[in-house]
Amino acid sequence: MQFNLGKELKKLIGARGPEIIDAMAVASHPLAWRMRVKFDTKLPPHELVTQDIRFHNPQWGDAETFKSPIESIEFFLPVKYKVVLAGMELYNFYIEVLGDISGGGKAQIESFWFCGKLPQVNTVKTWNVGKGKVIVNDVEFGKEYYGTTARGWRGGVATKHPISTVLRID
Amino acid sequence: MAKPNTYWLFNNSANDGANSGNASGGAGASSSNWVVIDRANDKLMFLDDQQTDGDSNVGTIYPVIIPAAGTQESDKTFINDDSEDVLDQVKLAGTTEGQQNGGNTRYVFAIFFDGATATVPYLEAWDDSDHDSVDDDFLGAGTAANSTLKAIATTNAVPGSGTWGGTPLAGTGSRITLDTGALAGSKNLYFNLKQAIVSTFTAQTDTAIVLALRYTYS
Repeated sequence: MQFNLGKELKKLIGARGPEIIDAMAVASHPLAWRMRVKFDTKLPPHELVTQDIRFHNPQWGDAETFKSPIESIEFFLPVKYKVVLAGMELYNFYIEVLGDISGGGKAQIESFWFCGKLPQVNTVKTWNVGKGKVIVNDVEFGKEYYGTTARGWRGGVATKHPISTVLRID
Repeated sequence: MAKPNTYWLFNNSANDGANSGNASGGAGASSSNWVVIDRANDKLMFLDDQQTDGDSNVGTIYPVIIPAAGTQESDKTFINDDSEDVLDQVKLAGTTEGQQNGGNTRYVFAIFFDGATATVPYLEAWDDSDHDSVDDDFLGAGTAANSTLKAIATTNAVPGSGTWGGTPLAGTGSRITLDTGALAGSKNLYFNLKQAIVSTFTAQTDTAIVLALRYTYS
């Protein structure tokens, strides 16, 4: 499936976008709130597609699942867009929750964090998805969560042209 | 790492000992005694010195009196225990400027995590359970430094002073980390808490402010 780029997306991802997008585009969004992780391996599993991570274990902590280097991560938003990270040296993902001393209910999800450490520099691209917003930031490696460090980094396949963007899904 | 369960507890003894009972609380180290907070029904209350440990929670409630000058720490700290219908005192809360056993005390409030986290947990305060504003007068009415709630993390050490100042709590702009980093596994995190009221504070009739715990998992 060929993905036609609008001007805004071309600005976002640059001229190298189309061939990469072609491989990653999907037809609709039955994958909303799911994450797809592609691995660089000749042995299965070649990818992991999680269940809805609002309600299910995202499996990021499963060392056996993540034994191969990551090629890319996609997170499918419920609005026909997906966050894409690819070509990074390291990746991280975590779910942020907030629970009260009173009020009874379980801790509620505040946001989802997707992080990619750029190759050869000490910078992390962070994507924070929550409360109707998608916020992207460049932060120093080791200060990716409100200035503090996160654990759970997974190795990736670094490329000369890493991708950190949001793409429309038609 | 799956989502960890969290349990809030307080030490209702005057003995400064760790929560060895973890999620269940009960008898702790150094003859301390830990009670699990029922987050659906119990409430944290700062009250006047006239209030006594074990008072009925449907009897007379003695609110904190605004000082005539300067700043004054609320005398006593209680958990309004809904199931027991009593005011259970948190005797080690606050500093030596209160009217209980607070000071350079470490094991006062605990949050037990039964699993790992991806990042360091934060303790915050918000207007209500929507967690989107900090306009309440108790939280400084928009000026975090004026928040009446002050907290200090004691997970790894005592505050270092019997009159510790603490960090004013108001949203994400002013909060405390409860440890030095992400949790590698199950662990008790400890903190102490006080309320400090200034003479210019306006009496409040109602508030829905909440203490909140922010953490991550993957």
